[in-house]
Amino acid sequence: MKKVFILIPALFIINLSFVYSASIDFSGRLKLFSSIFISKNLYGQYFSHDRGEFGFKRLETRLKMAGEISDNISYFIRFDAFSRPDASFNSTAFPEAGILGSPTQVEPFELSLYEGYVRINHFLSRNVDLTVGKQPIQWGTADKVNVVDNLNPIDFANFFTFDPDYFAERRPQIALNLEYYNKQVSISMASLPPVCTPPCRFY
Amino acid sequence: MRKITFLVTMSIFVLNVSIWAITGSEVLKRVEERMIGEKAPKDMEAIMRMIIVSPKGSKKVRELKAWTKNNINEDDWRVMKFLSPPDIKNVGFLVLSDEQMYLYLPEFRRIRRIASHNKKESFMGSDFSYDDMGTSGFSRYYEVKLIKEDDKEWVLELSRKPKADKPYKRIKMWVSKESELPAKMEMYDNSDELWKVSEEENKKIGEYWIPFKINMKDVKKNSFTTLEMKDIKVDQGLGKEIFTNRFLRRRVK
Repeated sequence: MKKVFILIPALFIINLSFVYSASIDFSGRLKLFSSIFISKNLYGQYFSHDRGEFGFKRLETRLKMAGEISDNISYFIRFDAFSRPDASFNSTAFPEAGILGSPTQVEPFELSLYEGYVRINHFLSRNVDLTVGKQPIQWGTADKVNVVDNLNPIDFANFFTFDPDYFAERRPQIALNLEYYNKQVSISMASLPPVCTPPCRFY
Repeated sequence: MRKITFLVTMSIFVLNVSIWAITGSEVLKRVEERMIGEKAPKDMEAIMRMIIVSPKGSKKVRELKAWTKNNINEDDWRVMKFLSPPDIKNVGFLVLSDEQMYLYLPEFRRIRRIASHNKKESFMGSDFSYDDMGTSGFSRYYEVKLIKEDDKEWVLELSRKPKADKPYKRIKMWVSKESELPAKMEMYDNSDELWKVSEEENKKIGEYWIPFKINMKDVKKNSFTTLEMKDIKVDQGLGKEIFTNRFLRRRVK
């Protein structure tokens, strides 16, 4: 039994050394949505504000990490964090107080693993790639209207951003995706766990 | 006196014919042989530095890695992957033919096919269009005429063929006699107004002449982009698997 315990940390250390020896890309972004109130509403349902005050409505953080474990095995992780401080401030109120928190106010905060998968190139055969985990799966390459790209749901979180690419963003889902390539033709076989609210009923 | 005038005129005519013994089509054929024919590298790998200068003078520097494969008598293939800056790292561009151009957007894990009506759009904010970055070769799309010749260069005028899907109506091309590659090009839009001017510096690497620096100026916008190649490797026997959507999705190391 002791041997098993020794073996596990040893494997863990080897694995970590693999990870750290490969090149890892860290990237991310921080987005702050702020507003200025043009009218006074002291009795609002969620929080009160005076005319001319600023409000931090939404804070978005995106952290990404990508790297290779070996020549043919790579991984990608993306964490998204959302905060809705709903804090207002003016010349007499210190703005950071709203973000850092107020004892009288509950600040909604959400952290999610938006994307996280491992990809194995040349899985069992030179022509096959396997991707396991939370991933977006794209079918077809047509621009704008792509009728075959219908596996993952459209991400409406940023739908009204004036960036045409957001219209094409699809939410990653947990899946097992096996892709077979032959010259310029590829066949994708994807398996997604059923999405339902328990108790699940399949007709 | 009449005889002398006649003789002088005839000698000028004969001299002129002997100077322009080569036709525009022959010059263009030589250019294409250097670019995508027998005299071009079979394949090439290089690091490119792209410097975009806006009309106000602000600079953006981008670095990319490019691979090309020369398929004689067919479309040449090319793949480009951005190495920096970090916000566009791993963005990829694959060209298999004039109708098959793909852009990979790593942010969305998405490969987008460049539709023919988008080909004249800017390539990643530069003064090059997707079409400029596409497959090489002119004779398929343009009628050619030799308009001038001197010791150092030929000057060609290329006019777009009636059904050719190309953004430039007319191209005036200065071809260096030493490298047999374009040294300068003036590109005109559908209204026959000057749109872009490109200047190329060509260098001999081994037995090949290669355009290692291209300066593309958008005359209408008054901006320009310089594309400079370094670490050029030729004839490595690059495999076909590089020029695929599968490779386009892979992270560049």
